[in-house]
Amino acid sequence: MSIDYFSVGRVVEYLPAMLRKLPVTLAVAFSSTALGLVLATLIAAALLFRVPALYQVIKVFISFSRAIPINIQLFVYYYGLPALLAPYLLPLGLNPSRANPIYFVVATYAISSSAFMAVMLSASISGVDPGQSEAALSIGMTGGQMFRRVIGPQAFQIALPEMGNVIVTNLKNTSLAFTVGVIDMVGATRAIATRTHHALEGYVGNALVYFVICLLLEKAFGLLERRYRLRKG
Amino acid sequence: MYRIDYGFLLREVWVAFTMLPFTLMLAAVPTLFGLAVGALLAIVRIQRVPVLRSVVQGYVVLIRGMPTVLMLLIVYFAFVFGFDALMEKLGWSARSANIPPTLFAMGVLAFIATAFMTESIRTALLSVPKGQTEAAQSIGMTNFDIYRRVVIPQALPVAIPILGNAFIGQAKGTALVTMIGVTDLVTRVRIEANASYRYLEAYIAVALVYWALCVGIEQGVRLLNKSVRVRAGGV
Repeated sequence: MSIDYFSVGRVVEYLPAMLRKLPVTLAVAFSSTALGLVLATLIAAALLFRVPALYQVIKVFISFSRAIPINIQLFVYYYGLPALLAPYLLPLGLNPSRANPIYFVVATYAISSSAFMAVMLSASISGVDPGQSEAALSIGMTGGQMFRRVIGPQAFQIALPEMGNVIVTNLKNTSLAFTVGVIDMVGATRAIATRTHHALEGYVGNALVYFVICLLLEKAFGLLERRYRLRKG
Repeated sequence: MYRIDYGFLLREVWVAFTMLPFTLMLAAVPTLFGLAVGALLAIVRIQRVPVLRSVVQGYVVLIRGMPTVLMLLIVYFAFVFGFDALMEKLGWSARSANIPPTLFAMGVLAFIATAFMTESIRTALLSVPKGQTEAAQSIGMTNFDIYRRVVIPQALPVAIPILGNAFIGQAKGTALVTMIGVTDLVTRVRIEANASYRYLEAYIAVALVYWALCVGIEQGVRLLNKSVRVRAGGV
């Protein structure tokens, strides 16, 4: 019997079907990052202003989100959110248990990455030299002006590399969406594997697609970083 | 209204907890392997060993740019199919089904850990100012002595938090081995939930145990870091 467990031909053959599902993967990665960033801004504000009670809750939330494997978080939210939301949504005629699982995936990654981004935002804002805000106040800027013109732009430069990491992580995590039934690139690959009994080629093709996108994202963020590099005197 | 079955939840926390030593092993063995090999590879890159350094760089970039779950599946299927095909050709009776999946999982996790450790160690070694190495060379120290007496002691305080994070990353990665048939805490708890459909409680139990594990590692790293700093005579 010949050894026919891997063929480059099949990698190429399976690619188009997989790439058709690439938009799903990208949509999950980018929408969850965008949502997560909005959430993270609110959380970072609560952290920076040390809002009582909320501050402690957020600390626990951040510890939880950073420590628990993402596929476990995915299942906790996938089973937990419908249970939590059903009493509010059922009267409106919506059944969260029947919702497209993609919503739970986006929600999970948004919530989870918001913890990482909140830390990133608050660290980069408090990382700006305090002399900067003192100087801004001394020339009579208001708090809003100070943030928009002095602190914000500098914090942005500090946050940029970590932001790139978060997006790459969210993108790589989309490879787990299939575990709750989302038909994305990996989902499509598994369908091919079941039909043809060739699992390996599909996964290799898939990994290559992820690799290329990660590389492009890293290059893009490298360029952004160079463009917004902190000019130190 | 969904009611959480706290009795079941507690029982599953216990079940998951009893599997903790296994998970810790799945995290620690590949990390230690990665630490040893990663140190060598980091030096290969820093010393700019021709050809080899490009190979190492390619490997690190490749591993860091791919989702762990896909690497697990690829290595798993490549090995299973390849091994069986090879054994059949040789006419031997050994089959991949007889090899415990834990070995595959550890192999893949070690492969991944090595890439991340290489980067972490390289970052730490590069954090030591060049003047230190030059000063050591000027008084005639050998390369080995420079690393042992000058570079490593100064790189250690920088390395520990980075390596600690990498270790936590590896610990979190172990939650994926259930996908290639390893019976870990996730598998055990899910099997128990299959009977009652109490998946939410089951996964909350797993989450709580992982949370405890990672916070424990974090605290351990913090203590280690403090003792290294004190010994280095710093703050």
